[in-house]
Amino acid sequence: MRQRNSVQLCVILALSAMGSITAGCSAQTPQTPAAAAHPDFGGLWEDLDGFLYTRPGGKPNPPPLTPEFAALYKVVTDAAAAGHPVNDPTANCVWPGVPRVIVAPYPTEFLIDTDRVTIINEYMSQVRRVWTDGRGHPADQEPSFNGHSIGHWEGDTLVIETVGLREDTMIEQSGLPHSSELKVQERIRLAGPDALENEITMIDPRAFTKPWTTTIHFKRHRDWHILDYVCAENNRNPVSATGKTLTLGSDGQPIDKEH
Amino acid sequence: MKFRTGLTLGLSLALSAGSSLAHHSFAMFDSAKETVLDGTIKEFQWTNPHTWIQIVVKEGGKDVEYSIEANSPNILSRRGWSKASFNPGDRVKLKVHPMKDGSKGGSFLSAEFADGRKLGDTIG
Repeated sequence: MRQRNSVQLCVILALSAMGSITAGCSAQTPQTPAAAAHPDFGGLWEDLDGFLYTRPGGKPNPPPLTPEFAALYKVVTDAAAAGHPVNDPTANCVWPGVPRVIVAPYPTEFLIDTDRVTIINEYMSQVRRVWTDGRGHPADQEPSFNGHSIGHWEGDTLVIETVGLREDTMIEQSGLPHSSELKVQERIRLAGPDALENEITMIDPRAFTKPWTTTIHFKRHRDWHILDYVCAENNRNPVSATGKTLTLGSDGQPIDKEH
Repeated sequence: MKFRTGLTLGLSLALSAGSSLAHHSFAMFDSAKETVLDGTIKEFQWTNPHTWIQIVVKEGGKDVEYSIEANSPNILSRRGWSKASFNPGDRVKLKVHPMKDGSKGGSFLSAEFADGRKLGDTIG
């Protein structure tokens, strides 16, 4: 009986202190290897650089677009400049997908386990599973919003590679397009006691002439928790059949002069 | 019944326009203009993906309702807002970016209540 109590106490200590306090425990003390071996990504992380890869933190970071994709992007930006926001899937509550979800202005949570890192984004209630158990990408990956992610640790840096992404998502809200060949690499590490950096590199041989890298900075909030984000609760900006983002009045009818 | 419009400087606009644009493009709003709507709150919808302020303004002797879009409850609650930030009957001046096409809507910038209380979004 005494032995069991002792073991339970050690487990509690190990869990509560994320494995850092082991005093008084025997060599057989159960550990939480993932938590003990990796940096503390606990709490929620606020994106400080906004949500535009083309302008993180307000600084221009133009994408090296191929002529084909530069032309596609120009159609979208010209329409927006003329006051006609074109079809943004998220306006109809369709998921943003990777990489757009990474820079949403909503908090991110990391759950580190022995075989995976689970990334929870409050925006659109998204969950990404990053497999860190040594597996590769499947050969027959069906394109999906968040793709297939594998990762590994290089010291205290979590390195993620995501492939298998649908091409009908936007890289960012400005309408920046990509192809289904997009590969997203992330290098995530603590940059201070409550600071996190994610160096994101996008490789897309059809959309970009060379790899495109930006670094996004996050601030830790240990007292925040993930809130509901139910996009369909009261969406008054649906996209019309003609691809225009509408604005609905309180009666549910468009107030736009043309729609 | 006040309804004034003015051009403002680009820098502050770029900053203030930034944080609201998560769920959809805000290209329908004119980020180069600021308008003040002086009226009475009809309803405050504390909902995702955006909150909405329904305000009634007197224009030419008539009641005209405007739909003003603001940030999500998630973002605003972390800045101290709540579902009681606006209540029906509140007299308030709302500073907004108006719709480009002149229709009865806008995106929220700040509020000043009749009792002097102020409410901001990205600014204050």
